[in-house]
Amino acid sequence: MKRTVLFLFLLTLFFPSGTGLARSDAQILDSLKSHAQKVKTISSRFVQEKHLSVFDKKLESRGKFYFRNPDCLRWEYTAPYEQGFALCGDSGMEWDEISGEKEINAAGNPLWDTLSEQLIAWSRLDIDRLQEKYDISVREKDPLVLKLIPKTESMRGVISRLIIHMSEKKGVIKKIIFFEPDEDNTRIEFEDTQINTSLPEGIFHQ
Amino acid sequence: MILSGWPKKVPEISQKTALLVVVVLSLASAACIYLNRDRASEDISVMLPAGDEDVLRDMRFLRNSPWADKIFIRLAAGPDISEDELKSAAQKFADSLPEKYFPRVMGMENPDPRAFLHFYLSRLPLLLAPQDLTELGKDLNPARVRERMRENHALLTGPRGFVLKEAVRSDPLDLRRFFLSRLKGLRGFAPLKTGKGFVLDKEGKSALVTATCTVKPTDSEGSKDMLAALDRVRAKTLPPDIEYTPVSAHVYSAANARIIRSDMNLVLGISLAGLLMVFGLFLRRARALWVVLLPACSLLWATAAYCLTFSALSGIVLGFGAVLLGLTLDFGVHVYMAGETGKPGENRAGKVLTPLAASGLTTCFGFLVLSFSSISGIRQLSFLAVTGIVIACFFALFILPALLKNPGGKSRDRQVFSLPLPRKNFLWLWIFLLFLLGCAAPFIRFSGDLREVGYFPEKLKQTEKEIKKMQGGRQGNTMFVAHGDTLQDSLHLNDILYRELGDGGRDMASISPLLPSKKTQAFNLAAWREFWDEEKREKIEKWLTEAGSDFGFSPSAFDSFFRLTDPENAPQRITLNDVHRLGLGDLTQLFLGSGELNQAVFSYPGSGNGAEQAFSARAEERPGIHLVSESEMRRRLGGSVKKDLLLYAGLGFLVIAAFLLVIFRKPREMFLAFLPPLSAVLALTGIFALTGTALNLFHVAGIPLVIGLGVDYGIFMVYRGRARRDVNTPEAVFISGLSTILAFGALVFARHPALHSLGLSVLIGVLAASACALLILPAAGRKT
Repeated sequence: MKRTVLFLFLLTLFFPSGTGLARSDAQILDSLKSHAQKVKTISSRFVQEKHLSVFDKKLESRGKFYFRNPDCLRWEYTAPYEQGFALCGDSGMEWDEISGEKEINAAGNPLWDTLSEQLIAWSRLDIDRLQEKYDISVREKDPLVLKLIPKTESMRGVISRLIIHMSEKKGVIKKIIFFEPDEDNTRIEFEDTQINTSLPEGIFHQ
Repeated sequence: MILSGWPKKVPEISQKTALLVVVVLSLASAACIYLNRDRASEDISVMLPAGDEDVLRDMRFLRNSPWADKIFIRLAAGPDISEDELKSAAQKFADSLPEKYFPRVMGMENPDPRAFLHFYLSRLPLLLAPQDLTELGKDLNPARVRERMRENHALLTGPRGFVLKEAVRSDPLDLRRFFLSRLKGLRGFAPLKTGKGFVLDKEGKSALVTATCTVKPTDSEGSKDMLAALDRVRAKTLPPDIEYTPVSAHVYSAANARIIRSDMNLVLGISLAGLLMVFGLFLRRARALWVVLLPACSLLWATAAYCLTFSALSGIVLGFGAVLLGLTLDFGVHVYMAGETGKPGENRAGKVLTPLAASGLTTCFGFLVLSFSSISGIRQLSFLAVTGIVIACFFALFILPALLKNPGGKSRDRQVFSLPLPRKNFLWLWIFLLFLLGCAAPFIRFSGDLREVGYFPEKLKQTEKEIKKMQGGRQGNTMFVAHGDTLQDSLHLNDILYRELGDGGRDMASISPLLPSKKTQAFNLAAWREFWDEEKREKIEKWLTEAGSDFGFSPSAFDSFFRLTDPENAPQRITLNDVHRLGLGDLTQLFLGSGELNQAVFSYPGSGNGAEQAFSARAEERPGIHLVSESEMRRRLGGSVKKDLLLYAGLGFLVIAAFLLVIFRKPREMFLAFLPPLSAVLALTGIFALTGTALNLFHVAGIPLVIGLGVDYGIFMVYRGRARRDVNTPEAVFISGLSTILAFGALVFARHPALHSLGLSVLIGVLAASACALLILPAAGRKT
């Protein structure tokens, strides 16, 4: 018995423990958290590429993205179709070239509720909220790449994993890749990201 | 007088025999009541008119509606409580609700929208009705298919594309629009932010927890325990700044029981003090306590007879019966007062035999008329009252004299009051007053609403309104009920109703779009197969592949849709279990009946869209489907009860008048004997009409007691005037009236509307009847 205890003790001395690594990940996430707390607004352009099995070729679209703390979001596609949505809290607008404008109420619509919550959490890197839904690990440290795996089976039915590439500029997302269970994936690359700049008036309501 | 030939002496029995009879009969009756106690119910349906089948049926539907077994608990946050704190407290509260009382807390499920869509899209052939396919037929051309492809392309590019990829694959023609448009009516049930086990209002300042209860609202003890358990959860989980208000039938029952208890403490105190005063001032002897035994024994023995005669016992009938048999105290007081005038040991009961028998018979005949009522409870009440009065007469004449052991020797037959006005004028003045009250009586308002005689605290009323607002105003006021022999039959009827009323954009909330009956599913599938014939399938495949290719879709992109149109592939039928598995159990709970009507299906029309009128216009054509409106049902119920009660109370009054004529033969004496009950009823109705007070069911319930007592007073006083018997009749009438006013009139101090109403009726009626008997009849009698 004594020998076993001694052996285990020596093991802990000579091999770096799993908790040691986790602490390092935790420190990185804490640093992101503290940075995210300082974010009041974000504006960015994005290029979205979809690699879907139903298409023979990739689907490319472009648009703009705006965020204002705590819960206002505008996700706007400018090409190939003009469409998107703007939400503040639970209420907002959705528009597209075919149906025109429509009011949305995220509280009464599980689809919008989930979508807006997730997009806000990803875009502002709200680690606390993301940790409620995902197991987060650090895949690469420099430049930082995070891997997120949904905790619930229903969520994994939509996204099997999520890879977030951070830019060299601290706290700014460079690229997000969503993988679906069938390995279809969507890549969103952000360009010209501005943090805490003033945003056009009424942008989240029209 | 018809009773003049009756023996003037009653057979005498010894005190021992009398005591033995009382003890044996009381013990036997108590045992009988004890053995039958579990059969007594508080079911209000016993007071519903049998003739109005619609009211009875609607009452049954309401009692077994999806809302009937639910409790709603509103948690209101104080100014210092944030939305997150409220959410966390509400979830903790919902999680801690004991399963013993609350087996299902709504909102604990987490429906997956993607799984929901996938399930229903794979069953579109079972869901689309023939008219949807006709509409679809107009869309089947190359140009329209191309347009759909563009829409699909845009959809997959945009934000919704994350969750709708599978929807585009299996439904490239957007057939789901037919199905999704029918779910519009269900949005009224979820207009708020939802959490696990609760919903939140728009402002995030109040949360609503809804749970199913195991305890029936009529089980007052169970309700008390359940609410106590709820209080314990509150103390354990909610901070003091969160106000908690539960709303359910249980809470109303408990509030009513509490207020009745508090009222009874007050009223019993006043009554006891008053009765002691009457006892001390007028009776003064310990043996007078035997008089009190008379109503107690008559109630006990009559209740035992009631238990043996009826298979279903009503707590309401027993309660009213107890009040009604209070009038038998009168008989005991007359025998006691008569005994005061005789020689020591003499049985003077024979001196009041004729008026007592006449009074008992007249009252019995009055109550016998009620046995023809269409209200089962009134018929049972009639049995209880008649049995009780017969027993009371027997007790008063044969048992009480032996128990009283009359000391005799005192002649105290004197008039209690002397009149300040010339007596002749006073009689005419009284009649004129009655005439005026009689003229006002037809203008009396009648309220049959049972809710108005219940105790509804203001705070609960307010919370109920707020909860209804949180639920989108749908909760249970007006509903359609599809009621077949089985759940499938009911679902089929529900489909018919929905098709006729809901599909026209009437915003009706129904389970039909999510759970059509087997028959409807089979019918829709047959129509689908007929629609997708070989030629149409080949065409659509060609157009979809060509247009899809232009937008970059792969050739196999829509294979799952082509499988759906293949007649060889029949989708699996939608069942209730499927709906539960998708996490929609809470939703089905709002549409499926509870209790004995768990095979009925409920649906709710949108407000102000004419669905109720459209249904009512053709109600006859839809057997098995019913429109139930709580307010309308209460109005009709009130009307029926009013009609029945007034008809039989009026008939009873006429029978009493006729019987008095038979007894006295002389119209003048008959009129005088009839004057006290007439005064009581006219005073009651006239005062209510003049003060604008609506007569409710409990006011009416006091009327038979008032009439019974009034008849007694009249008969005894007229008999005294005619026979000049030395039996202390005025004093007996005075004591009887005073003790009734103190015992039942004290209820006027109660805060509970039902008790207050009963007390007010008795107070006005007995005051008028005893005033008439003591002041007017002696004047009229002297004139004769």
